[in-house]
Amino acid sequence: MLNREVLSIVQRIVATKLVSTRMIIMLPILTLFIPGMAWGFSDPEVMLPGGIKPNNVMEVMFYTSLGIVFAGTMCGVLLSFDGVSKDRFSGVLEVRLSQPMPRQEQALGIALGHWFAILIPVWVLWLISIFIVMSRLSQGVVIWETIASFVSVALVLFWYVIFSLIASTYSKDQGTSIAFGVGMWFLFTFLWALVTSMVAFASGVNVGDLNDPNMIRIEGLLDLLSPNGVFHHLLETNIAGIDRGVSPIVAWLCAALWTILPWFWFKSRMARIQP
Amino acid sequence: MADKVIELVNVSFRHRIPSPKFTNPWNTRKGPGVFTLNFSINKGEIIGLVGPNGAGKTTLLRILAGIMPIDEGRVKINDQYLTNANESIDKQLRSIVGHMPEQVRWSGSSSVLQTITEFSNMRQDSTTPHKLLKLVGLSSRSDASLDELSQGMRQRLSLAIALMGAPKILVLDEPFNGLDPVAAKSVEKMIKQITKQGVSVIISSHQVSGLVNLIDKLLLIHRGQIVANGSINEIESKLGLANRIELNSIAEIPDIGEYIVDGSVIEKLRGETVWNYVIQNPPDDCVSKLVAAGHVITEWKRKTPDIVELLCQATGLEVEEIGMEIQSPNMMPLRTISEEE
Repeated sequence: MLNREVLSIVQRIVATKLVSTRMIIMLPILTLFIPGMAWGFSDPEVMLPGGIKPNNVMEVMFYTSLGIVFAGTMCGVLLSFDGVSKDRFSGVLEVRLSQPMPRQEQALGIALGHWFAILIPVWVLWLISIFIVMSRLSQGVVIWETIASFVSVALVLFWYVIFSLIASTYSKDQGTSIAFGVGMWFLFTFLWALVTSMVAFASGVNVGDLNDPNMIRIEGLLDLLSPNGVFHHLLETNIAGIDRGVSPIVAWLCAALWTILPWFWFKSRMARIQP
Repeated sequence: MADKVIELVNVSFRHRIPSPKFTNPWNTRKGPGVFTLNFSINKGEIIGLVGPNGAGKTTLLRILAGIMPIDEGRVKINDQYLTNANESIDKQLRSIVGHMPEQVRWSGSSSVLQTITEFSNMRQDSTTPHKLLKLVGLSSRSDASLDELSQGMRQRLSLAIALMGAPKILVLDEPFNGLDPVAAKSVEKMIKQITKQGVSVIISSHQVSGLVNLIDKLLLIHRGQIVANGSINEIESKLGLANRIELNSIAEIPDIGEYIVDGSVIEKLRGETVWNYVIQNPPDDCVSKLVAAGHVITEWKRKTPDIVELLCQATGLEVEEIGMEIQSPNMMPLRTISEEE
């Protein structure tokens, strides 16, 4: 399925997006959020709220993942919100759809192209961050934990990109698709805590006590319904001593569902889309 | 018998249009489209597709290009009838048809060559992109970015992409839009050359005067249905518009009816220096009789076909009515297709 034609689409999108004005604007933001946070959280004097002091590389990277949640995912949305709609408005989509290349392969090329366009800079910054933390803490990393963290970052970016692309296939104007993407980002990044609190309150849990085991369990379960939550579950599999009632297998299974279902949704939209 | 490249039999497609309900805000229903289309395209033939705005021209071209599915009917390609039950119908159409949509706004920092190479990969075409760019006169701009192209150059790029993969049928939607007169002429010449190699061309154009000398056959479409199909002369005869002459005389001919016997004057205009008459079915000796009677005839000739006139005659509408008619989502086809209407 990943043939020369698909790679040609991927190459075109990545090459265009990586040097786009949007990327030039977003790159300093990503740099500030990812390596910047890694630098800050790896400070030997740092003390996080609740008296937490991260003391190994993966723990620091877990807190640094806030940079991915706040900046990486937003940049993914901003990079891909017009992934389909722009070509649709300009008439280019009609030319593409009239080629013998199957639409599902075109969909794959579009999805991978937009994903790689945000993944490449974020992965580079994530790698730089790991080196910064290793250097500041004078510690090494476990390879499989590092790989798992890279995979987790890749997955959360894919979820936001693919949802933005789905919105882009539905939108009749650029505003709708960007509103959908930013709205989704806002919901899962800021409002999900509210949703969690409301569900916990309705379940009779003491919302004010963040260390209440019931609150932790409900929060852990509801996080499976949010891409950011699943992302954190995946990162937590690298950290010892954390139990939020969700086993690593369930977390990875949810990650697979978050990946497969939107992908099939996008593929089926592309199969039926009309210029 | 002519070699048919494609044949459409009772092909229909209707767009889904929003019809929100209280219980389902995203509800849609069947709207306008094309209905029971029957026609074929022969090898090396140029067909002109003409109709008013919203008649269904672009929808028909998109069906031919394999972009839009068919709801009903059959399409015959490669001696095989295909219906919408055949999953490969769209792919088969796309592999034999080169499509140039109307007004593609190519933009971005990619170069012309990069763009055409990408499409070449999508079509698995072995033709070198440089050859295609040379064919459409864009070789000098191959390194230019898409943002730098003028509208005419963008049209040429669309045409180059449509020509990729040696299509059997070329579907051109308003190919002359944005082209300067010289470029339009060269495109016209190129279309004729292509047809000599056995490629069939179907052109939708609002510049109808330019089509007359280019096309072999004309398809008149109105409200999603073909109202006339054939050569211009055939359609003229079918619609009773054949055998017309145009006369110019220096003065009014008040008793012209006496000279044309069973014929009729269908148009009479007073110009700055001459009176112009269009006469339907004049007798053979009409002009000689007029001259013998002392009327000064400065010019007489066979009235050239006018596609707009053919369209008016075929639809039974006046020019103003066709020109002002706006396709609404609720517009009825000429014939009712199902109870839903």
